[in-house]
Amino acid sequence: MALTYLAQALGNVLMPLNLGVLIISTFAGLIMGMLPGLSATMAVALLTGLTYSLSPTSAIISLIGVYVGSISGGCQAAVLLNIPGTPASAATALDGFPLANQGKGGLAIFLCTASSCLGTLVSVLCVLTLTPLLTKLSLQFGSWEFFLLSIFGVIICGNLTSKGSAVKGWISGVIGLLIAQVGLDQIDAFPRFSYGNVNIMAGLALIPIMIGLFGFPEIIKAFKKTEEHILTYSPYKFKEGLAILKKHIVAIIRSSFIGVGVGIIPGVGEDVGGWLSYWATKSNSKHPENFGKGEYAGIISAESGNNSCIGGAIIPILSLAVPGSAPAAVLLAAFMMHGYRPGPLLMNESPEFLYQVVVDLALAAIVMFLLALVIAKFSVRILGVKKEILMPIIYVLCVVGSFVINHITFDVKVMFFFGLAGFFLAWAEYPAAPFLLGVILGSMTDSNLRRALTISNGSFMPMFTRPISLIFIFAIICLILSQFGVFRKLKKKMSAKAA
Amino acid sequence: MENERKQFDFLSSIIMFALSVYVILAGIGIYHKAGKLFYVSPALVPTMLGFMLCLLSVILFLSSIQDGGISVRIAEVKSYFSGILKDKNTMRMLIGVLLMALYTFVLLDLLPFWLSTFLFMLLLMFFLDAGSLTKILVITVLCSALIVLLFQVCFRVPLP
Repeated sequence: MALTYLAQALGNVLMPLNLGVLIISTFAGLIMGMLPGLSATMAVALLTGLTYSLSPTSAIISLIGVYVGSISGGCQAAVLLNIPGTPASAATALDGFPLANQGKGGLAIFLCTASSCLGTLVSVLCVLTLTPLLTKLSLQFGSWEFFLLSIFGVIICGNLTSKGSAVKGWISGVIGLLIAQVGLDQIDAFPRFSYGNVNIMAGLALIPIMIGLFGFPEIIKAFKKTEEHILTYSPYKFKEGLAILKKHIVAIIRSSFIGVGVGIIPGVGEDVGGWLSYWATKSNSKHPENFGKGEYAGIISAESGNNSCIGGAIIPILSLAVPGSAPAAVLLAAFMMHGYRPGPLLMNESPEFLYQVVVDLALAAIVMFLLALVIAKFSVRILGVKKEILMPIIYVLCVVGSFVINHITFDVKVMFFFGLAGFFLAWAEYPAAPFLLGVILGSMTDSNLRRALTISNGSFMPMFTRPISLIFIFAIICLILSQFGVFRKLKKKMSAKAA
Repeated sequence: MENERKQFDFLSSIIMFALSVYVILAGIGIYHKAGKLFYVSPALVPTMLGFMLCLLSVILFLSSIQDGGISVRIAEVKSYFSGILKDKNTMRMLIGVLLMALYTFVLLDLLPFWLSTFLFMLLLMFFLDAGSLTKILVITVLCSALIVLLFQVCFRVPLP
C-alpha cells in the first residue's frame, strides 16, 4: 500500500504544472533565504497567501519547496557576506566566511548545498519511518496528555531558544498562550479579551501574527545604516567537492540525525539544529582548534543539521498537529487552510498525505541542490541588492500576505501590532519561537484542560495516574529544575561527598 | 553587555508584571460573567496563565536587580534612553515605522491598493535614500504593477 501511495505521490509531483511549481517555489525560497533579513518563516508565510488559489497538492508542493529552498539558501550569504541569510545558517558563517576569504567560496557553497540536500534526504527517511510510530503513540493521548504536551512544548522551546535566560523564553511562551485565549472560547463560545470587537471575537488569525512576529522586526532592523562587504564567488573542482563530502560522510549522517531529533522537539528550529550539529562535530574532531578558521566539517555539519530539521519538524505536525519549528508552524497553518487535518487521525483519514509530503520533500531537496549550484554563480549580484529597496517591497508583501487569508484589513493591522510586539521582544532579548508556539498551542491547552477537569469533576488526580502524563510531568519538572541549576548543585554535592 | 541585558530584564519584568495583573483581573471578570464553576469556566486558563506570568516576571525582576539594586538599574535605563534618542539609526527606524503605520492605518483605508502602495514605497525608499529619484520612481511603479498583476490578475487573489 505504501508503495502505491509513493508512486501516486511521485506521479503528482512529476505532473508538468506541479514540477514547474516546485522549481519556481524552491528558486523563490533560495533567493529569499539568501537575502539577509528574509527568514524561512517569512518566506513560507508570504507564499501561503499566494497558494490560496492553487489546488491543495500544488500548494503543498510549493510550500515545501520554499521551505527547503529558504533554509538552504541562507548559507550563501553566510559564506560570502559573513551574515547568515536565515538564523539557521548562523553556524555556517563561522567556517564558511574564512573559507571564502581563502578563495574557496565556490567550494564552500557547493559543500553547504550538497550537505543540505543530503541532510534533507536523511530526514525524509525519518519522516517516513517515525511518523507512523509517533501517530500510533499519539492515538493513546487523552485530554491530560494533550494539555501536558502543550505545556511541555512551550517550556522546552523556552529552554532551548532563549540565550541564557529560560525565564524569558517561558514568559514569551506564556504570552503566546494568552494571545491564543483571545476571542470566543472553543467550549462555551464565551468572548474573552474581545472588548466587543467582532473581528477580535473571531480570534486572531495565525498567519498575520507570524508575518508580524518574524518579518516586521527584520524590516525595521534593516533601516539601520550598515557597511557590508561581499566576497567574490570563486570556481572549484567538482571532484574535489565530492571527495571532501565522502571524507565527512559520518559527520553528515550524525548531524542529520541530530537535526531530525531537534526538529521533532516542538518549536525548536533549524538554527538550534545547525548549532548542535556543529558543536557535536567539533567535539568529535581530532582538530577542534581548526574550527572557526575554515574547517570543511564545520560547514558540512551545520548545513546537514539545519536542513534535516525540516523533516524532523514535519514529523510532529503530521502526527500530533504540533509544529517542530517556526516555519513548520506556518506550514501547519497552511495545511489547515488547504483542508488537511494533521494530527493523530491523519493516517486513518488521509494516509496518502504523508507520502505526498515525503516525496515533495525529497524532490525539493534535489531541485534545491541543482538550482543552488546554478544560482551560486550569480549570488554576488543577488546579495548586492540594496536592502533600502528590498525592505519596502517586503513590507508590501507582508501586507498582502496578511490580507489574503481572511480578506479583511483588520488582519493587516494585527500584523502591524504583532510586528511591533516582535520588535520589542527582540530588543529585550525574548525569543519569538516560544511566543509563536504558545499562540499555536493555546487553544489545545485551554480546551483539553477544561475537558479533562470536566470529566474528573475538577480533580487533577487523573493526571498523576496515567503513564504518558507522568512522563510529561517528569520531563517538565526536570526542564524547569535544570534551568535553576538544581542538577548542577546536586552533582557538586555528590562529587564533594565522594571526595 | 551583561548590564545592558539586566536593564532590559528590569524594564521588561515591570511591564510583564503589570500585564499579568491585568490578565488576572480580566480573568476574574470573565469568571463572574460566565457564571460557571471555576474548573470549567472560560476564565480558568487565562487566570492560570496570568499567575504564571506574574511569578515569572517576579523571578526575572529579582534576577535583574542582583549586582546593583533598583536605583542602579533605574539610572542605567534613564541613560540608555537618553542615548538612543540621540542615535541617528534609532530615528531612521522610528520614521520608517511611522511611514509603515501611515500605509497600514491611513493610506490603505483611503486610497486604492495600487496607489497607496506606490505612494508608500516611494516615500520609504526616498526617505531611506535608496537611489536617485528616477530610479526610485521606476522601481516603485514596476513593483506596484507587478504585485497587482501577480496577485490580482494571475492568482486572482483579492487585494486590500
